[in-house]
Amino acid sequence: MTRYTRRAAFVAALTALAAALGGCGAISDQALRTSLHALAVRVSSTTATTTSGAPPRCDPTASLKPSSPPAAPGHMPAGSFMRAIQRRGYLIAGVNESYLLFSFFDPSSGKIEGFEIDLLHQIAKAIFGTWHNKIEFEEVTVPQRLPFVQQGKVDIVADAVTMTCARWRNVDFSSTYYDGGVRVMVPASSNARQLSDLAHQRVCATTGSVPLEMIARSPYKLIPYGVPQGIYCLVALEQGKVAGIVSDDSLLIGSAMQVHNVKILPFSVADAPYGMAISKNHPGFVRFVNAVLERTRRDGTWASIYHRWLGPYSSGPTPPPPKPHYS
Amino acid sequence: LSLDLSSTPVRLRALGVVLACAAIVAAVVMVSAIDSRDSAARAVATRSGRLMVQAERLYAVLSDADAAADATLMTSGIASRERYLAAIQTASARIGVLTRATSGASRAGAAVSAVAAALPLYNGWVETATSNYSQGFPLGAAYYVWGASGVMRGQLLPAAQRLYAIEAENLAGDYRSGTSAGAVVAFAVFGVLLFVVFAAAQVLLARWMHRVFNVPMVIGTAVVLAVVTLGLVGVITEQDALGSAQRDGSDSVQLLSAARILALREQGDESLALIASGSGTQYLADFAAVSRDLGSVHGSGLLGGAWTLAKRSGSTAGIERISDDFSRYDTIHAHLLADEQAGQWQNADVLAVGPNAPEAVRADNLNTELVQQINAAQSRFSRHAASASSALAGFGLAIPLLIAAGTLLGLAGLRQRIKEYR
Repeated sequence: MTRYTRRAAFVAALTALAAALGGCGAISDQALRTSLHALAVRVSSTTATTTSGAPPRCDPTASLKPSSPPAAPGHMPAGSFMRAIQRRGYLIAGVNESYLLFSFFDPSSGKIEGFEIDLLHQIAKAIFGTWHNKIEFEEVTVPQRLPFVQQGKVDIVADAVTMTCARWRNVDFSSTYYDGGVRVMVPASSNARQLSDLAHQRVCATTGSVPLEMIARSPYKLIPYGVPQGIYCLVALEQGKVAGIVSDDSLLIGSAMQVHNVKILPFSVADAPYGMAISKNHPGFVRFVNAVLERTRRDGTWASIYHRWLGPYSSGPTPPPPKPHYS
Repeated sequence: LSLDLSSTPVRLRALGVVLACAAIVAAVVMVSAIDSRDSAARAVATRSGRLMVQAERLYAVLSDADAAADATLMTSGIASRERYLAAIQTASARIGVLTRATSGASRAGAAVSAVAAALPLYNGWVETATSNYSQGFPLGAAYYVWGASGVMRGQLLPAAQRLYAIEAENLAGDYRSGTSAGAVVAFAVFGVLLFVVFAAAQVLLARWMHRVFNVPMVIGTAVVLAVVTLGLVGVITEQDALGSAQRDGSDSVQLLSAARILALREQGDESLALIASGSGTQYLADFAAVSRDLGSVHGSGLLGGAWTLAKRSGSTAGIERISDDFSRYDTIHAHLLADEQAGQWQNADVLAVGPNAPEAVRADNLNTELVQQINAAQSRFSRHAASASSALAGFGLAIPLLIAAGTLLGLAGLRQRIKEYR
C-alpha cells in the first residue's frame, strides 16, 4: 500500500464516519412545517359594503287597500294564505332579538318582546283568536330579512324595515306602523352639530340598510362602516372605530338606554316609515294585515302599545298613529 | 533563534512542543464541538421543548377563558363564570412564567408581552358584556362578539400562536445544532489528527532511539484514542437520543398541539356563530377552513400526520379515539348548522350550550383526549431529551483533562529520552 492510497483510505474512513453519524438520529422538519402550515389558516373577514344605482321614484308608503273587515278569527277564507297559516297552526315572523323596545329577547322572561312583537300578536290574534303560542319567531339579520320573505321562509317580517321604492320591487309592505326618522348618534364629548361635521370620518350603519346607503351617498364624504347588526355600531362607537352612528331613531333610543356618554343629534336626516314586509305572492295577506292595523289604529290598541314601550322614552304625549296611504 | 535539528535532544524538544501545541489546538476544537452539541441537547430538554408546550397551554387556557365567557353570557351560569375566572387566573400565571423564561428583547418576549397587554383589555370587555347582559340588555352579547372576542381573536390568540410558532422553530433550531454534522466531523477530525500526531511521535522516537516502545508515550497515545472513542460514542448516543426525542416525542407534540389549537378555534367559531345568530357566516367559514386543515386519520392534514407518527411509535389507538371524537363533533356540528340555516336558534343552542349539551360534551371529550395524547408524547420527548442531555454530561471537563493527561504522559516519555543526553 502506498502512502497515497493510505491517505485516501483515511479520508474515506473519516467521510464514512461522518456520513454514519449524520444518518443516525437524522432530524426532519416535516412535523414542524405541517403544524405551522396548518396553523396559518386564515379566512378573510367581512368589511363594509355599499350598494349603487339610483333608486326608482314612487310613494314608498302606499300599500294595498285593506280587506274590510277582516274575516272572523279561526275562519280564514278558503284558498287564502291566511287559511294556510291557520292550518299550519302558527304564524312565522322574522324579527330581530336585539332591538331594544321594538323586538328583543328578554333573558328574565325568556321571551321576545317589544312594540313590533305586540303588533304581531294582534295579527296572530286576528287569525287564530289568540296569540298564545301562535307565533314562531325567526331571528333574521338585516341582509337576510327580505330574501327570507321572498323565499317564503317567513310569512312576515317586522324588523324596523324602512319602506323604500327599491324594496317595493322585491316585497310588498303593509301600511306604515311606525313613523321613524333617521338620526345621528355621536359620543357625548363630540363637537359635531350636524352631519357635515363628520366629514372624512367613519360613520357606522347596518350593512344593507338605508342609512348605510345614505352615508355612502352623502355629499359630506363620510366613510361608510357597515356592520351585520345595528347594535355592533354601538360597540364600534365605544371602541373609537367610528365617529358616529346613523340609524333610525327607534334603534338609537334603545341604544341610548344601554350606554352612557352618547348623544343623539336633534334633527332627522331622513324619514323612516316602517312597514311589515310580506311576499309579493300574497297580496291578500297584505290586505288582511292592513285591515288588522287599521283596527288597531282606530280602537286605540296602537296607542296603548306605543305607550307601553315607547311612552317612557319619547318626549311629549303619545303621537297619533301614522296615517296609512293606499294606492 | 536557530534550531540545530541534527542534534537529537533538540529534535526531541521540538517534538515535545509540536505535541503540546497539537494537544492544545485539538482540545479547544474538540471541547467546543462537544459543548455546542451538549448545550443544544440541554436547550432541547430544558428550554425550547418546554417553552413550546407552555405556549400551547397558554393558547389553550385563553381559549378556555373565551369559551367560559361565552357560556356565561348564553346561559347566565354561575359555574361558567367561575370557570372563566379560574381560566383568567391560570392565564396570568402562565404569562408570568413565560415572561421570566423569555427575554424581553426577543421575538418570543414580544409575543408574551402582547398577550400580557391584551389580557386586561379582554377582561374589561367581558366584564362590561356580563354586567350589560345581566341587566337584560342585548348589547351584552354585542360587547362580547365585537369587543371581547375581537380582542381574543384579533390580539390574544394570534400572539399566543405566534409564541408557539417561535418556540417550535427554536426547538427545531436546537435539534439542528444538537445533531449538526459540522460539530461531529470537527471532533472526529481533530481527535484523529491528535492521535496521528501521537502515533507519529511514537514512530519517530522508535526510529531515533532505536527502541520500539516508549511506555509513557504509548499510554498517552492510548489515552488520546480513548478520548476520541469516548467522545464519539457520547456524541452518537446524544444524537440518537435527540432523534428519538423528535420522532417519538416532539413531532407528535407539534402535530397534536396544532390540532388542539385548531379544535379550540373551531369550538370558538361555533359559539360565535351561535351568539351572532345568523350574522356569523364568517365564523362558519372559518370553521370549515380549520376543519379542512385538521384533515382525517387516513388522509392528509394534521390528523393524518399524527396517525403516521403514532403508527411508527407503536399504538394508533389514541389518535383513532381523537379522530372518532372529531367526527362525532362534526356530526353534531352538521345538525347545528342545519338548525342555524333554518333559523332555529333555540334548537341550535340546546345542542351546543350548557354543561350537558351534546356538542359541549363531545368538545370536552376531544379536548381531554388531545391533552392526554399530548402529555404522553411530551413525556416520551422528555425521557429521550433527558438522556440526550445527560449523554455528554461531564465531557466538557473530562475531555481536556484526559487530553492533558495523555499529553503530559507523552512529554514525560520524551523527557526520559532527553535526560539520557545530559
